Amino acid sequence: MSGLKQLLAKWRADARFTENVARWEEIPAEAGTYADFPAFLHPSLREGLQRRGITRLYSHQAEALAALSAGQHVVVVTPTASGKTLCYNLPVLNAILADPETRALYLFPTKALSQDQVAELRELAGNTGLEVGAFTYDGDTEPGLRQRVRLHGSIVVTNPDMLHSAILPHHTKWIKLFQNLKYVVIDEMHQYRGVFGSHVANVLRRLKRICRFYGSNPLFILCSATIANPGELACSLVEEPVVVIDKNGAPRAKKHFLIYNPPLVDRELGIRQSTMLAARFLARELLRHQVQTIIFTRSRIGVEVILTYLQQDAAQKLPGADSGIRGYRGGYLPRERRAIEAGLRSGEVRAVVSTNALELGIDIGQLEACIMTGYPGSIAATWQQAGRSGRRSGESLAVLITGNDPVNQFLAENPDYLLHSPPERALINPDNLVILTNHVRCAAFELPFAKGELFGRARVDEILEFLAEEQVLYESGGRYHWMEDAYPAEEISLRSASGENVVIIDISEPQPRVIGEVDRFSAPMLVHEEAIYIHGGEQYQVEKLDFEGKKAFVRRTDVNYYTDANLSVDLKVLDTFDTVEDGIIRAWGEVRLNALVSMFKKIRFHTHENIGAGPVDLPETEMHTTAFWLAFPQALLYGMKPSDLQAGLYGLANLSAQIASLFVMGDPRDLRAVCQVKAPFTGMPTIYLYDNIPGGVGYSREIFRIYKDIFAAARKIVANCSCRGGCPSCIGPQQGTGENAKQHTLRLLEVILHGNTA
Amino acid sequence: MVTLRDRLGRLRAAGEIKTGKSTRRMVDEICMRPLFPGEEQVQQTLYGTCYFREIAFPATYIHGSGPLAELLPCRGSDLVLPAGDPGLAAFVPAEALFVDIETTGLSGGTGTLVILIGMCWYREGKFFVRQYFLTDPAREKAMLIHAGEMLERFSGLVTFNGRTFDLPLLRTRQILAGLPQAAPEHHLDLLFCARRLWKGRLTSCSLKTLEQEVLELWRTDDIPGAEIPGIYFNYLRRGETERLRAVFEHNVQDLLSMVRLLAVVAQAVAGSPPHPADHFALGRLYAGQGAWEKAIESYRKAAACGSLQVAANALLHLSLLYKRRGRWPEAAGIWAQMARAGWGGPFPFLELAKYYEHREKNYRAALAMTEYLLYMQSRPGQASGQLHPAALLCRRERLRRKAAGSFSPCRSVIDEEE
Repeated sequence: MSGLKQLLAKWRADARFTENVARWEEIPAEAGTYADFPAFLHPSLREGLQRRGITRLYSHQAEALAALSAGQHVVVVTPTASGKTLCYNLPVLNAILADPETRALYLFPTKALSQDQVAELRELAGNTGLEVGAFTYDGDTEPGLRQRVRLHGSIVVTNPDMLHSAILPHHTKWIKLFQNLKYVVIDEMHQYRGVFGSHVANVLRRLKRICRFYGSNPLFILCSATIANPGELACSLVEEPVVVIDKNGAPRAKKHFLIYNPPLVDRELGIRQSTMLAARFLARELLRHQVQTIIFTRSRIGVEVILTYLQQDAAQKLPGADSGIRGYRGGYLPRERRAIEAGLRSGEVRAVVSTNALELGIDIGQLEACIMTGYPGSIAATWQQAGRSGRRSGESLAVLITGNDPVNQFLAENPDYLLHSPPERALINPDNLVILTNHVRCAAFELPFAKGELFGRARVDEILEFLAEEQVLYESGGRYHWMEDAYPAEEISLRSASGENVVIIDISEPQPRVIGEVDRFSAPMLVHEEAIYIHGGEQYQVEKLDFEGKKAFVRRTDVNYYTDANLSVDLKVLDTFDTVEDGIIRAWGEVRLNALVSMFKKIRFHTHENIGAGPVDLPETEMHTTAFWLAFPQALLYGMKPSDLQAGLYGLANLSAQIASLFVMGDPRDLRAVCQVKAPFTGMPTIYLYDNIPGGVGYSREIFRIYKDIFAAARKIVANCSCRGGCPSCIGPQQGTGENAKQHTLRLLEVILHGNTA
Repeated sequence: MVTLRDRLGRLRAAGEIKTGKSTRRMVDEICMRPLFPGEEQVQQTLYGTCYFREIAFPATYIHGSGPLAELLPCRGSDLVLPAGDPGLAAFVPAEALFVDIETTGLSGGTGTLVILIGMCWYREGKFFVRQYFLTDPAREKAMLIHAGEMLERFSGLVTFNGRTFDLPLLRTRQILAGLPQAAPEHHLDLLFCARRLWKGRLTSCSLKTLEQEVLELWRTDDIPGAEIPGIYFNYLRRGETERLRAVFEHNVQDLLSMVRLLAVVAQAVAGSPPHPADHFALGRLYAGQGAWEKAIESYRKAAACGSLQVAANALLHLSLLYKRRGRWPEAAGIWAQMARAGWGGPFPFLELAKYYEHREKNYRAALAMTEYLLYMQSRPGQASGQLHPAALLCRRERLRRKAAGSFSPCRSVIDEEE
């Protein structure tokens, strides 16, 4: 009996263990579905595959090849380790074998993935005896090699940022690529959601525009982890019909999926044992049974903490020996990472503690067990991380350790949401006015716009006229010409909505370095002078904020408090896009937010004592975005005192922003809430959930659509939470919301869901 | 209902969308009043209007340190060395086309427009300057076709930084306009030549520095290149032509300086560089080509030029050249000279130590040099980057053994010459 089987049997028999298991799901094994090589597959490619021991294809691979050969764009949606890469490498190599001039462009969200792909491509090509010029082209590409990649790279592997800032604006240097571009491969498509996805959709509009100029019309091959709407997302990225291939033909072995909710330490305050300690316990057991394990954490500091724990445990057992336990995260050198990846494949590395850096398709072979410390943020990411364990044969284990916050507790209480409901929809809004306008600028730099020309499916006449009036473009002869001494792509980051972010510069070392950025709207809150800014688990104190110059200078520090800025947000509705009145009023539309930070407090960790305060002298910031709102007519709130209402609204705002971000697959920072006891616009108690992104990215509209699901989930959390008056696992800590806030929040939730005071 | 325009305006006001600084209205009609009466031509073509200005300078025209006519006797073969391009042997400078462009920015990329293409060539006693100007972006194709025809008429092209700036940008514009991209048979990039000749002597090789240091030319009333995009935008949007003239003038000056610069480069190679120190750079270029005798001659001239630093450097390179060619006595003579003069730090002593040991087998003299090196190294503040103490000690041990084992007279070149 394998070590894993023994351990599972032991856990099952241990009541103290199983009482913490919210769900023990056994996912049965599945046989593979196969198909023969299609007739059009080049003989040498066929031989190359056979040499690797592949004599037939999985059904989804064959389907993808068939659709592509019929000239259709495809999106392949199958789990990790189902042979997805062949879905694009085969057609691409097949086309290159048929015509050596053929070019393909591969886009991966990160550099590390690009490197991995080129290695795999070269191996496959090597097996077929084919000399394929497959190159990565990114910031690390040596200047001497760049010219060669431009002219001779049959397959150029890069990331969207590089395409945006270096390739498209210099397309005349890439004539060969654009004239002969036959395939564009977009892997990890589900990563392209929210702001990033909205940007990438526009980068693809630009790419297609350039291709048209050079007379090429490439087919898109997209691959994605499981999301609810792969076809919709692919379609809004490519803006053409895309065939969805989602029937996995790869065989699967049996898998145990556990949701482990650490025991309550303090029932009254709703505090549970930390996910890190729980991970330590589980990993120690797995290692003792010789089970190769990967542990995912949510932060870099989490990697270091758990790594230290496990190494301590190992040293106790066998002092001085190599524990075979490694950490893996951004910030490690590429060489170290490659060594760890190889060690995992060979079995020399027995356990790896990683951030989500390893969640993407880097080849580390298949491990036996996977531990997730805290919900990775989306169902898609959960399955991707869980997919890191699971071999073709033999059982595997994935454990999700749920944390203290409402989202994690919701999942512990409702395992079916995770296991059986369709995963989230990935949302993008390529027509976000800020993002669209910025890319119209970039596109005009690349090729003049003709009057009336569509940009993808977007009409941009008004934007072009506006840019001409603003003297960015010059209209003549029916075309808009770029007319500025500037390089627009340089000012626009794909990872944030506007190029107006405040960059955070660490000046602890003689050589200052940029460690992050915050959007301009949030800057006064997060990086005012004296603020404690936490990045990658390290504390930094802000020494100087140059708000005009958009720079915050920080220095590493180690203090026992964090800072909390007193923010007053004023929200004004500018326009209502849709509204429904049935008892409560719900609507979404465009809003203006004005935020003013006047002071900050220093709050001690753990005890949350207020140990000091200071003034903040910064101008008010303004943001235009979209918001969803709910207004409660007085008649439905019969008997509620104003103070109760205030407490209830506050709790509701706290909770619903977090739960909504779960449902819209957004970064929790990108969705915020405010409440007004008597809102000027509605004249009633109102809560607003807004896209914390200038122009909005589609969350508000989606919340408007699925508000019932969101608030039903919220009610479940509050109703099932074991705390008395509110805790971090539901509506937030009591000192923030007031006594009995939980009851008042619950009442408001009833009103939302049933339109009465039940 | 809020209009898109309102939203755009608000987003701009909130700083979310970047736009140009100026908000004055553009002029609808570009009024092209004569800029240079009598010098301009406007041609109607299939692709719109093409504007150019043409002027001529007599060959005797003095620009900086000499007349333009000095270009005429220059030989392509003299450019092979500084350009590092053997193909230039067949190039005739007097029949070349000099090209310099002005643009709407230096950042490169497809959004940068070529607004002025200046050309200069010699014919029958005169230097002609023709400048194609982009009166409107919609007329780009007409301008490029005309300028392209001119380029095709000449087999040789001369630019300053054309390899990385002017030619790629022209090529980009031609691609965007759907035009063929012709490549000239010969291309001489003067920036490349200038760097190879003057990088060591001058703080920079910008055209401005070269004009002042090499051509003895100081411009007056010149506009900085960085202002050119703004001047062009103002012309387009508001019809302002006042400062546009200065852009044309700036371009003419660039072209004339390039004509002069080519002459000075060719003269330097032919034997009379503008500064004796340039012989050193020439020596290095010759040595790089394996032209030993010419390299030796140039180093010798540099060693006699009067500048201590240049002379010391020239001697050092000359001695290494002799050494590589096996001309030991000449090499040793230089090392002795350098050692006496205190030039080159430990270098001449180390070379002499090796020379005495391996060539003359004079171990005592070699030992003396080694001891001296160790003494030099022990002195505080002595930069000893070139010396490995362990290697020196090892050398001393070896020499002591050798000196003890076989008799060798204790004399050295230094003693001899004294």
